[in-house]
Amino acid sequence: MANYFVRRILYSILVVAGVSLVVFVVTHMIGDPVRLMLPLEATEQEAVEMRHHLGFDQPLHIQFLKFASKAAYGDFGDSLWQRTPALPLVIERLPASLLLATVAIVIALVGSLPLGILAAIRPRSLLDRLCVVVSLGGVCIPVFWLGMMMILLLAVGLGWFKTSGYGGWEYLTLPALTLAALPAGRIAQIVRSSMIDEMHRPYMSTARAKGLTEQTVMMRHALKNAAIPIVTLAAWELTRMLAGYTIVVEKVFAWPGYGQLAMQAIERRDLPLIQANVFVVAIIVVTMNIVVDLLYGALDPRVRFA
Amino acid sequence: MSAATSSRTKKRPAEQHSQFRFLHGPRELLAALSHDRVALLGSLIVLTVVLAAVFAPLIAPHDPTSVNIMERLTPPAWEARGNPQYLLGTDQLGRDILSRIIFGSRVSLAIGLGVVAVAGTFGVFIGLVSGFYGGRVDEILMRITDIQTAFPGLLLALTIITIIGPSVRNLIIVLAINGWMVYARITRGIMLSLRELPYMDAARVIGCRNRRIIFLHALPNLMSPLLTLSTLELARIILAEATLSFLGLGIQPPEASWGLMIADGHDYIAQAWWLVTLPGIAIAATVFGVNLVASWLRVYSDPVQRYRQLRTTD
Repeated sequence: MANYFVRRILYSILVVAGVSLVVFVVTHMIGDPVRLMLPLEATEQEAVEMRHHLGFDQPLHIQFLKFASKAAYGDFGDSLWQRTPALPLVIERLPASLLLATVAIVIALVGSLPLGILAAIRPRSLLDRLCVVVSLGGVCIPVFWLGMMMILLLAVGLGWFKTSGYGGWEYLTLPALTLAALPAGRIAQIVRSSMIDEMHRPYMSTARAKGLTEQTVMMRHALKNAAIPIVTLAAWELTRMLAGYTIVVEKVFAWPGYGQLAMQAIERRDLPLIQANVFVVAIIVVTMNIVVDLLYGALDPRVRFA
Repeated sequence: MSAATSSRTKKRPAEQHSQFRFLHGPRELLAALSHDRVALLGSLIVLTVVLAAVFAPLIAPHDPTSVNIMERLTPPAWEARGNPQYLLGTDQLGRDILSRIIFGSRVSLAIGLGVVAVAGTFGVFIGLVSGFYGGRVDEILMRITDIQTAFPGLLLALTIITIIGPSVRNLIIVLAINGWMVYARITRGIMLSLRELPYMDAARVIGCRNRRIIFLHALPNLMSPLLTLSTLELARIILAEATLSFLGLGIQPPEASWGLMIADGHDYIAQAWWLVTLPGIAIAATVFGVNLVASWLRVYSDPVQRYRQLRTTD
């Protein structure tokens, strides 16, 4: 078991290093970072000076070693836009994004669990059809468009919520709902199918034969056994949110998380800030992957880490 | 998507032998499609989008980039202030929404098909090599795909495009870099099981070279799952292109792309609902259609699935 996690952590470090390497290669070999960062009207003299100042005139392998040894300590240099170290700027934005994603995954689970369970109990019912429609929507609807439709209907039309910004529930509800809607459809589908799988197992007959109520049979026996795929998918959806969808939703609702910061950094061509942002997101993704593995073991005692 | 796979057809046993029977001619294809209404709907949507893209200059009522400030923010024709000349209204620069949606289909399809071709070719090649040779090669190739699967795709794509600049070609490259792994995984998985089959041994015994075995003996047997996968990926890529264009790193103005149109409409959302609503419907409908076709393909191009389907519906 310990062996397994040492391997997983080494592997995660490899992933983060891979991401950093790709970003380095793209920024230093394909593009000219100095030309990107300087204003268009900058002279060649200014470019040469900046290149020298930032060390971009040294051989590539030396640049990479420097970049890597600094990055290992979380030093990505100063943000060109804010003139302060880049990594703290990203970490400052973490709570807002984590809050948004956590609320969204809770909403998604609260919405999809009853829907999926009821759909499994009564196949081909109206609820079952609803389940199919919602999950189909989850595959077809672009998340940014869904967000704008929510703004249009619930904020502009009915005036219940704020269109954008950061603050209490009147700000949080719409972006969280937007982020939750598409995963909810996919989770409901999994809840439905894994509940149906469990409902046909022999232990269900045993439970009923013991005289347990239908409610206990479904919630205590079937749902508990169906939990593994559900939890795995929910964790995977949370990872996907943190790795990408928050960027889009934060852009639509002007929610000040690291996604919005990433877009601002990209618009300003602020390379150190972009690199720090990618690095943080990569760490979140690999951490989540390890957490999912741990959850597997916690939920299913048959799982052994080898 | 159980609805899409439900079918009222009763196949004669003889038809189940040939895996690619449905591909043999347009007539069989049509016959199979007409039995499945959901799949028919999907293919009609896809056909409409393809026709719109191919004949865009002929059917678009206006030039998609021509600016007319006098007519700016005209609502769709059925609204009170609508102008029948502009069926779906105009945007903040007075450009015709309908024409822009029609031309936008070109971008979506070109990028979607381009990415499927590039990522599919590369991914399938890696998967074939990895699955056929196994051992060290397989180990290394699969580690690389694993590592890349754990990358934060969208953020990385945004970063790369910032550096190399947004253009149709660059979008295809970046989205293909993000999307080849799934082909490699699936191809490798099937290749591993194909490798053990007697006809592969037979090919080896009669002296076929590895290259011939891989491409002439194994690849044709992979076509059915790969066709389904490519269709699903096409839908995903269309969404991804829209997202990148929405974030301002995809198609650049004044070109028309559905994602870009929605981004432009963002600032006018309170005054002009049609700017964001209509292109979004175009995206959702297209992706919906492609998905329906994919789930139909999954059942009809695979004899095992088709048999299961028949058993449950009869």
